[in-house]
Amino acid sequence: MAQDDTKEEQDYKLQLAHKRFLFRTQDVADVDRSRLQREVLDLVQQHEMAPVYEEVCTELGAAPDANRLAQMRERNAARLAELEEKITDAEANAGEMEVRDALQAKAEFLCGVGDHAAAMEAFKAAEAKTAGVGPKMDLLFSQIRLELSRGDLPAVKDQLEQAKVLCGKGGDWERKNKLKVYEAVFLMATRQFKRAAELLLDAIATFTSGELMPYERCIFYTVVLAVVALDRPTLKSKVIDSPEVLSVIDSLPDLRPFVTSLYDCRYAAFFQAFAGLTDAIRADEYLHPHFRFYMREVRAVAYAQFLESYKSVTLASMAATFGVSPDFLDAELADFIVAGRLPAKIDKVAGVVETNRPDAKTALYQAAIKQGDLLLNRVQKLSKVVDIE
Amino acid sequence: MAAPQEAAKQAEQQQQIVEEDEFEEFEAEDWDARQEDPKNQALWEQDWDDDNINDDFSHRLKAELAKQQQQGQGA
Repeated sequence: MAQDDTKEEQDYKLQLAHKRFLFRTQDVADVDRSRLQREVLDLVQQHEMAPVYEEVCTELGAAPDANRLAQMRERNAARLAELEEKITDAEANAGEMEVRDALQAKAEFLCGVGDHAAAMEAFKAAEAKTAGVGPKMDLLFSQIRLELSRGDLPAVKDQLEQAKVLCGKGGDWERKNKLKVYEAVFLMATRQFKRAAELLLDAIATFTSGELMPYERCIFYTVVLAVVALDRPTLKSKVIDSPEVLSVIDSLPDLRPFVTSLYDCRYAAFFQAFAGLTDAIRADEYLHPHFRFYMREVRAVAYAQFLESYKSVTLASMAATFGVSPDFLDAELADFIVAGRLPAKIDKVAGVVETNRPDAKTALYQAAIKQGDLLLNRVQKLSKVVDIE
Repeated sequence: MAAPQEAAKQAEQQQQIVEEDEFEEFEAEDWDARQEDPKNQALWEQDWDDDNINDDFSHRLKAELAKQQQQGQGA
């Protein structure tokens, strides 16, 4: 992949995957399916993706155009023959480098039209002829993008492992950085939000993965994950005050208020921003399976942060702070208290939330009693077996 | 007077120990990665919340905020 100075365009396979995701996913808001259908078919046709055409048509509920398909197949075959010839030509008349380049071109082509099986084989062949950590990593990045576009996360995991091993053997700074973002996407897609956030924060200052996602998207993920993964001081220093984040945070309407109002303890504004942001989060294909989990984590952070300053607070007052009714908040808090996420209890009669965070000494005391109990239990059992005078 | 009291107490303790015997203690599980099922492709731990498709907090929150807005304007 040539690195040019202009902003790199996202791999169209990933754009396509995202559009297909939006089309088939039921609970995403404001989806214009007829427009999506056109865009998907346009992309498939523009890139002559004959191998996936029928599958895509079925998914879209559109009738495949047999002529178009035949045409695409013809063009694929012709191009493939061209590429094969370049390979044989290079093998006969040119050096290893040319052979390698020709093999890579074939692999990229097959990958580009969506012939997964053939592409993987071609990548293997290209890899065998590829020397140097950097170029090898590039091949893996291409494969990872292919697997991401197919939603094959186990394959991505495997390829990431390979890339990390390679990188350890001498990856250059740029590829190391790229790898961070690639890995972050996988981690995010598999609910490992904290590690994903850490990697993204590391990588955003020197973002070179435009083919994976636009920079604004990366910042979106960074902020969204940081809110549930980082403690408050780190959220301030690494996200809110980060020049990289600030430069694009307004690209999405509720993103800045979401993080700043939480930090500033302006909980009503926070809930407003959160409500607005949930649509964007639900519409993201990597975050979508974790949407509910994410919403829960956000609430846990917000309620816990609020309650930290209180020994007791009325339900009415807390609800007003969050801009919701006491009943709404009561149900929420009860839920989180029962789940063990909030150190509090609700005195429904008095309408008061009481925190029961033990101070350090009390906590130690309670722990000592508990451990002592366990010990006594075991000694008693032992005493049945061993003769204790 | 001390001796029978002592005996009674001991009998009580014996009984307590016997009672505790009725509760089976489970061995601490000692897993490592090799014992994991390789066929299990689940890449993240599912949350009970994931299955609860009827309850969507984002909808409830939006409804609640809208309601509060309305009430605020009506007041």
